[in-house]
Amino acid sequence: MKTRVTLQVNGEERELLVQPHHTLLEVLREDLGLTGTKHGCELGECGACAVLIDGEAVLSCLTLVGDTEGSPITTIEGLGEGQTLDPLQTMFAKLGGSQCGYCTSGMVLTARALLDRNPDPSEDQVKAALSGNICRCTGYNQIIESVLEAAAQERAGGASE
Amino acid sequence: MMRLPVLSHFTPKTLDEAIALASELPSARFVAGGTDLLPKLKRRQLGASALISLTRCEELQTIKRLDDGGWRIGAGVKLVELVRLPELRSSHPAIWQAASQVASPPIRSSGTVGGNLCVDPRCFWFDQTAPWREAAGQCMKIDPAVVCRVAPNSPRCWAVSSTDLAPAMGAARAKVRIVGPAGERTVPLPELYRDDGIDYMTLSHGEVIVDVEIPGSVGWRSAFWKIRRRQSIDFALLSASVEVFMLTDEVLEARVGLGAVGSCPLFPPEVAAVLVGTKLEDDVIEAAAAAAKKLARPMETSDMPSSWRRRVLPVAVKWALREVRGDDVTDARRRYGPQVLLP
Repeated sequence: MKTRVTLQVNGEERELLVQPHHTLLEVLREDLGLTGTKHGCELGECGACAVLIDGEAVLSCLTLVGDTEGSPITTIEGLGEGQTLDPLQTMFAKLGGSQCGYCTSGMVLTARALLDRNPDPSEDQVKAALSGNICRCTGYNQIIESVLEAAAQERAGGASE
Repeated sequence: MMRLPVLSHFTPKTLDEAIALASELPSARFVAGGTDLLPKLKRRQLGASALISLTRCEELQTIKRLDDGGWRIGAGVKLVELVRLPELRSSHPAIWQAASQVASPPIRSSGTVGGNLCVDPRCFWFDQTAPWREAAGQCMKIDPAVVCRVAPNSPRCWAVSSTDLAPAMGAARAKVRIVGPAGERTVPLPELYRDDGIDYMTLSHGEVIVDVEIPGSVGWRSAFWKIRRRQSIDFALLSASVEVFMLTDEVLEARVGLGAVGSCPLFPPEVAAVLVGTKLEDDVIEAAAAAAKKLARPMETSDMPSSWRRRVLPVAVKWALREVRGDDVTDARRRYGPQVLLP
């Protein structure tokens, strides 16, 4: 039987009827149409489904939707403002941090959580923070460069171009 | 799409409410971070008619420094919160090192202290997809009518204890407070476990771990070493936690915890005894490692042969002992578990 939940997704309050055994991943993609969040392994091994809950990068495939009520959720659709991309998105595009693109939303959001806590991470800290996200194209070098460059841009005053 | 089985989900706001719900629902399971339970439900390794989330129970969320320098840590505290506690890193390095090596960063953001203590023992024959297990003919842990595929003549299941916090917290003399329908009790951490891959905990239905109390560590030095295939995510192939009490350069008391080499964490007094009264000289460290090797009997439960795990267990014990002796282990840490270097 469906139950009513109220979610805070990308700054908007969304009231909807959901299956209680559905994960946040299923609700985001199937009930809210936010398909930027990808389903990969669905078992917590790949990081493709990572979203921000209360500012932490967590795996939406392992999060029961009922547990997210009352917490702000940010998906890739909620990054940036209007037509202005988040510096991470800009740098991923510019430096080739996104190849096939499947891991990208999880990578970008996980990196966002890192930079919000630590605006000046070392390369080792970036690698450690992204170590739960798998890139099947193996484009890790460009991903790490993109994160470091976005961090540098943000520290320099936020202009991404 | 790998979906959970159809089930109901409750999000009680108090522990009393959670326990009362469990009493009414005999086939419900408690869930905290869900990072161990949900994959197992999705792969149909475990069943449940309902999940009772403990995430909203305030009683499980404490992190408190105690007067003796110890800690009371709520079972609902997320692993990432422990990793972000520099005071824990300096007071109880082994526990901090264990927490910071559980799975991957996003899993530590959801996974909890209590959840890690309750991680379901793992086995190559059990932790597989449903079609794989079906093709292989299942195993005792799924179907009691089938033999244990690891030891076909054994009357018991040999799935391997895979919690990282338990060997570290047990060696640090932690006590666990449990609340259930029959009231409250506190047990030394090792008593949480049974040496059985299926019925692996001494918790009864409706009982919840509330918090873990870790005594102060003045005079104690500790280290935790975990060996796994991929440093970024995997469960332990084996782990070793050591605690030594030394006021000068002589060990007055010692405790050793071994993880992932049996169906429960092991705290062998005979390994700790080798260390007492010594100055952790090289030959003492060799002797303690040999004693650990003699005692641990890993079975063919993992994707590395048990002979390899037996050979490498003493290596982990040795590095942990060198670390508490004060040796510079930075290079070895980088090789075996680089995440430990980074908060």
